[in-house]
Amino acid sequence: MTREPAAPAELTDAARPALLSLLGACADTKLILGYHYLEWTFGAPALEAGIAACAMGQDELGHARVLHGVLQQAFALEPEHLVEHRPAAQFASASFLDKPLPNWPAVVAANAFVDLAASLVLESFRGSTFGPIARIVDKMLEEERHHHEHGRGWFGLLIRRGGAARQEMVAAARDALVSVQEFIGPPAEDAEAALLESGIRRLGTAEVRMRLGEQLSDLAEFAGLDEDEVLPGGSLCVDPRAIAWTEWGPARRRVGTSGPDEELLKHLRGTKNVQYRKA
Amino acid sequence: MKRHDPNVYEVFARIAPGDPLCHIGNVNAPADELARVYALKVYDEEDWSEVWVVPRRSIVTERRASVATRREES
Repeated sequence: MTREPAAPAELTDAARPALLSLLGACADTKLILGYHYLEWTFGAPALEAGIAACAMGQDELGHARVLHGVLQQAFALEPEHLVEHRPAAQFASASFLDKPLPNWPAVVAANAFVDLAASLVLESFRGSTFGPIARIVDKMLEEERHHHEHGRGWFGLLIRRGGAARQEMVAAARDALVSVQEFIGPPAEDAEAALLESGIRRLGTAEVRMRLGEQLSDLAEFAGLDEDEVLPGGSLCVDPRAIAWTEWGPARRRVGTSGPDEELLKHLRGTKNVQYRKA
Repeated sequence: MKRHDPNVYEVFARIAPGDPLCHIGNVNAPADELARVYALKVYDEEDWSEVWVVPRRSIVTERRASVATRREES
């Protein structure tokens, strides 16, 4: 018998913080990722690449907005507060996105790795017993399919091109992949059991990490990449044991206390033009 | 764009299932997999049910000189 997806009020005390951690991090990552994609509407290597970046940016901001709706419904968090009023140190976005992306390989790394990781975390909620997320996740993942094709295509192209393009792509990939592991979470996250047992989340962190590893292996093969060139150990997947998990917290799903650049947040929020907002 | 530019892909669309394909434009892409994504994003506003993305270099063309001459004369 199929169980009717749960309403927000049915979340247990154990499940609530774990769900907030994952959905909050996905929403923040999509918000900042959308900003970066949209910044690269201009300056991309070709008009078509700029149009694709713009379209992906619109998708991400739309997904962030939908996730903010879920956070509002489930946790009484106001979207305006989440976007406009939180200090940078409260954002749970993937740390690779903290600063302006300096070049096209960095955009490709955000696209091929950070965007992919956010999708894999959301995929772990497919078929969730928690209605508000179950109802939105399939459509988001369908739109994300084109993002992954784009990231994969450019990653392969820049790696195969060799020279400076390859070196810059490798450097950006290395930074993005560490950030992605922090975002996915530690090998044993205490609160995970509450989500899995209730069926709110269908795949645990270990499974998400395994799927990421499969996707990265496939990507490396597609690009003709010597995986040792990116990370020691012959895999694009950062060994989670190499991360200082003692400095990691579920509220921000990253190591350390850094956050998105203040100027980036001001631009995203339109702080300079706030006086024009109301009559 | 040159006739044999390897980066040019022609985009054809079918408005409704069963309709003939019609040419709606082209995209410039450095690889096949990107051409598909670009065609979807660039022509997203078009009302199509299916698109075909074809490398221009793969299209075989033939011209009928007599027809071209007749049209020029008329």
